Amino acid sequence: MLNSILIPVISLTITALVLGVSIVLVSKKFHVDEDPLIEAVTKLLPGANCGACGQPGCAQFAATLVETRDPDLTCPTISADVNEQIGALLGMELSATKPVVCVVKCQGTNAVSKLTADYHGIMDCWAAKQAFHGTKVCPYACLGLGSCLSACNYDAMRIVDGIVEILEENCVGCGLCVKECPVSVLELQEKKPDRYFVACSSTDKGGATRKYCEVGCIGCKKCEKACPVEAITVDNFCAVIDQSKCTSCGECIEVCPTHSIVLTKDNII
Amino acid sequence: MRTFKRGGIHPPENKITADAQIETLPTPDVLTVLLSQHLGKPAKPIVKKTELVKKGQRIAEADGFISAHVHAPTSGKVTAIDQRSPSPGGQYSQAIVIEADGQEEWADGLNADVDYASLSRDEKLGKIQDAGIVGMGGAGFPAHVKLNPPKDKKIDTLILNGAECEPFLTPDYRLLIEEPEKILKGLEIVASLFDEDIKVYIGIEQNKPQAIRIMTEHSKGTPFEVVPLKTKYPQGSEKQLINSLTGRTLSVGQLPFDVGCLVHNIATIYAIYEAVAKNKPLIERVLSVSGMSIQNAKNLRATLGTRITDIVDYCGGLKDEINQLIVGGPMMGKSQYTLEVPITKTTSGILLINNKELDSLREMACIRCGKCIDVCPQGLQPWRFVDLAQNRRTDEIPVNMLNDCMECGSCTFVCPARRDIVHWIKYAKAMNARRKG
Repeated sequence: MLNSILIPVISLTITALVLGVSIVLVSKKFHVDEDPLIEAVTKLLPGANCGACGQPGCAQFAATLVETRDPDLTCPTISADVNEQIGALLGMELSATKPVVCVVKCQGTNAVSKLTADYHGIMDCWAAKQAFHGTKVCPYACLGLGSCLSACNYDAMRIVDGIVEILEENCVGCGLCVKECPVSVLELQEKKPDRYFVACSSTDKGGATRKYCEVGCIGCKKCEKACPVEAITVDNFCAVIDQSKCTSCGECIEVCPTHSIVLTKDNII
Repeated sequence: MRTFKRGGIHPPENKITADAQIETLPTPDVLTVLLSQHLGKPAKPIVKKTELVKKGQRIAEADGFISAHVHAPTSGKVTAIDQRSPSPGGQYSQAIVIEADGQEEWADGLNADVDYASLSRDEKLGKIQDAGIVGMGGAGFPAHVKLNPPKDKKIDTLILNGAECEPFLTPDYRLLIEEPEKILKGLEIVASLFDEDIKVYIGIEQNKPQAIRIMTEHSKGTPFEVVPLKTKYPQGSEKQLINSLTGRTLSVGQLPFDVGCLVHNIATIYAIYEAVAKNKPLIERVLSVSGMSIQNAKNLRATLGTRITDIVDYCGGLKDEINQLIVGGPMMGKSQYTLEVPITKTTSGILLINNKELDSLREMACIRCGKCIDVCPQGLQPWRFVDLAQNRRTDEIPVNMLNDCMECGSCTFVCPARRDIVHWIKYAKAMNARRKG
């Protein structure tokens, strides 16, 4: 009776001891020195593995940064503070991050944009695109079925009234949604205290745009004339504001007849 | 009786226009001729705005190997070249808008009898190419490409596809009854393009006894064999019809010419006859106007480019509210949002339906019953494709399996959870195409 307990206990203990010791020895022998910096840098990163920096994920970003010490390799989603902290860890000056935010170049909610039909298919923009471009007449409009939502890791988007809305406090500007949009209404813009942009991407002639949307850019060039610093150009019946020239004076928004120019106030951390 | 081995379903037939004689629809005043009426690249317009065109004149040229010419369906004036015209395929495409002058004046050399027996093979193929003929069953594959398979593939069987398995549609059936001689002559022309010992089958489903009788009578003394087929959807699909008639099975990724077969639709054969023997380009076709919401369901011979609204007017208008307009059959057709859509070379029917269940149809979770696998005529696992597509993992679906699905809709028809299986598969195909380029 005693034997049947003692023998397994002793034999298992011996096996465990032998294996344990050998594991310790092997781990000592084959130890790989990893730079502790990599882990420190990784801890400062958001950890969403969004790929906006061009690396497969945050850990790989940290490893590449520590290895190459490339000052231009920065994470576009972190604030200037964190960027400085990373620079301090590495003992070098990193180039400043340019905080960007995603904008929707469309205001065509179901209320103001003309609709063609009820859509009964799969709720995905790419699927709807096969059936006459979804339900909006405007071929440039946000389809509002949320392919971008499935790409967003930061919970920074929602669909309101048939159009996508960006929650700017959550958006870090990783740009994953931009790649996912079948009609390219999403764009990354640099953050500014007062940012004016044209929330329309229709390149149809003014008359055509008017027919299907109340808030579309009709290419009337009023803003182009009103702009004191020549930051606005109207190309292909759609105005574009050059953010590097724009002084945020607000003249354009005053003259726009269709209210397609929008003002956003960004929080810059 | 012969039929294909794997899968298949029996949807209600609803062939309400089966006894309606083909009527000729008067050419409307304005025609919208789409430049993408076929598979492949859209044709390139070769006329300008305000130019006068004659009936049958070529107005757009094939762009590339897999593409087809487009012809003016009537004489008149080009009033616009519309860049974004809705096409029944669910896309927007370029279109030439023609205002008819009512003269119906043919271009030189067209609509004349030709002594086609003396033509060589290349001359016949050239005529078919010039006439812009495409597969008129629905896919729209250019006929001259299909009739000219690679040299190393020997075609030993020619099949005339008279299955017409889609519910509601009857244009092929009416053509078989009303124009059997022309169809047989067309078949002779196509058979003459190949070896002399080619076997020719005319496959007709058994639910069309009149067509079987008429074709059997007319094909007496010819080498063509009329074969009645056991009714099952999708018998009219190329691969299934080959399996029904010859017993050959196409493995994943194979095309009909890989097993020595060539399948042509009745409307296409009729168009080939008109092109070779009458020098008529493809500018009109027979189609069914059907569904519960149209006043008088009819079979019409309509000019290509006629808008559906003109057709509906001719058929006495709508009976009640409709909430679905489908171009094609109910199984594979596409829903449209406007009656302004013009008909094309591949439009075999128009359905006007008031589907009261439409709003209550909601996709539910897959219950793993396996019905979609049972009915899939291609032996695929549709639920698995949907599963992967829903999780944005379309790259994991084997590409040749996905392409083997011809979107017949059998799986969606039987799915008790009412899942949009075909739409998911189309989505997966679109996503894979997007990833590729």
